Amino acid sequence: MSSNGHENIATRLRREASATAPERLRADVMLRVRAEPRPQRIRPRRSWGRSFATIAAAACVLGALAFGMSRVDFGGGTSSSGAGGGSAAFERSGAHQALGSSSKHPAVQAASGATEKAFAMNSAHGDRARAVILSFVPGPLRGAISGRAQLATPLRHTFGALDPYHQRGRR
Amino acid sequence: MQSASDEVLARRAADGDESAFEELVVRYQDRLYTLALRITLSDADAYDCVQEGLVSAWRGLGSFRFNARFSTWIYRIVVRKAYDVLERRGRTAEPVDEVPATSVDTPAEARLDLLDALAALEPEFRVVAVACDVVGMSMDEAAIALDLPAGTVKSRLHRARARLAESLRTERETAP
Repeated sequence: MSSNGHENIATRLRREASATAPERLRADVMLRVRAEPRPQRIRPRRSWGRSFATIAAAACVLGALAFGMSRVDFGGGTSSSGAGGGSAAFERSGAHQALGSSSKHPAVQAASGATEKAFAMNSAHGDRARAVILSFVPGPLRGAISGRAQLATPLRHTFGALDPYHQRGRR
Repeated sequence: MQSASDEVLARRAADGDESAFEELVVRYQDRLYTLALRITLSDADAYDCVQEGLVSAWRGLGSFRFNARFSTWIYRIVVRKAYDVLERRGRTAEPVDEVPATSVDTPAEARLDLLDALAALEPEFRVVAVACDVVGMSMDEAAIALDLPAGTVKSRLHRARARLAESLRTERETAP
């Protein structure tokens, strides 16, 4: 059938099949509407609540990640393992601040020459061991380990006060 | 009040403004009644469908999110009520109780022919023809109101028009 014929049917339907609602319909509807309780509009509140939950969850994940990283010792967690433990103890003692940056720090003046040598040997041994280990691991992991090593001191300072096991395990 | 858009009126109605809702009733009652009448083929059922549909709309306005047009939403409510009527009848189309008077100057006999042919269509084709050609919904709006894919609406509308034309031609040829 041609589109002209279809248009003709559509036009006739529009003109001839329309009906008029009975007069009393509106009155009946409004009578029932007035007997009903007024609608309570439900305001959308989920947007800020959902975003707050997302932000809170992300913050928890990041916090847990940072906390976990502060407890992981890539260089050896115990004093017997040498490099890492030695350097961690070195950092905890406060002497690292002097050794790396300022020779005028009181901690350096107080430290004996033998202790400085021991720390230096430990540190050098640790650096070599870390370099050997890092040469075997994939690039992204190497980057993560290096980043962790740089972040270790500030993280330890930040979370050390919160973590009772942090100090206890190192004794 | 007359110039306010459907959305403005619906928002006011959602806040409990009965006069705004009454204005929407005035705007849509004829179209809703036509829709229900041509689906159910019964004045009494159409009246009940529209009344129930409008009261349901008043109750549901508080949760209406305004991401769809008010017209589409109210059409959909009334179409569902009409479908319920057909369901209750076991999907058997009953003859039209009476043909409501229309204000057009088409001869009454020709008008009855068309309405008879429309009533004789299967409900799934009749609904689409009424929604698009009688009420004037766009295909997309009809797809939402009737809960059908747009492609289905298009094909059913084409077939409904073809069948109507065929029925009218056959009737004309067999008439004395």
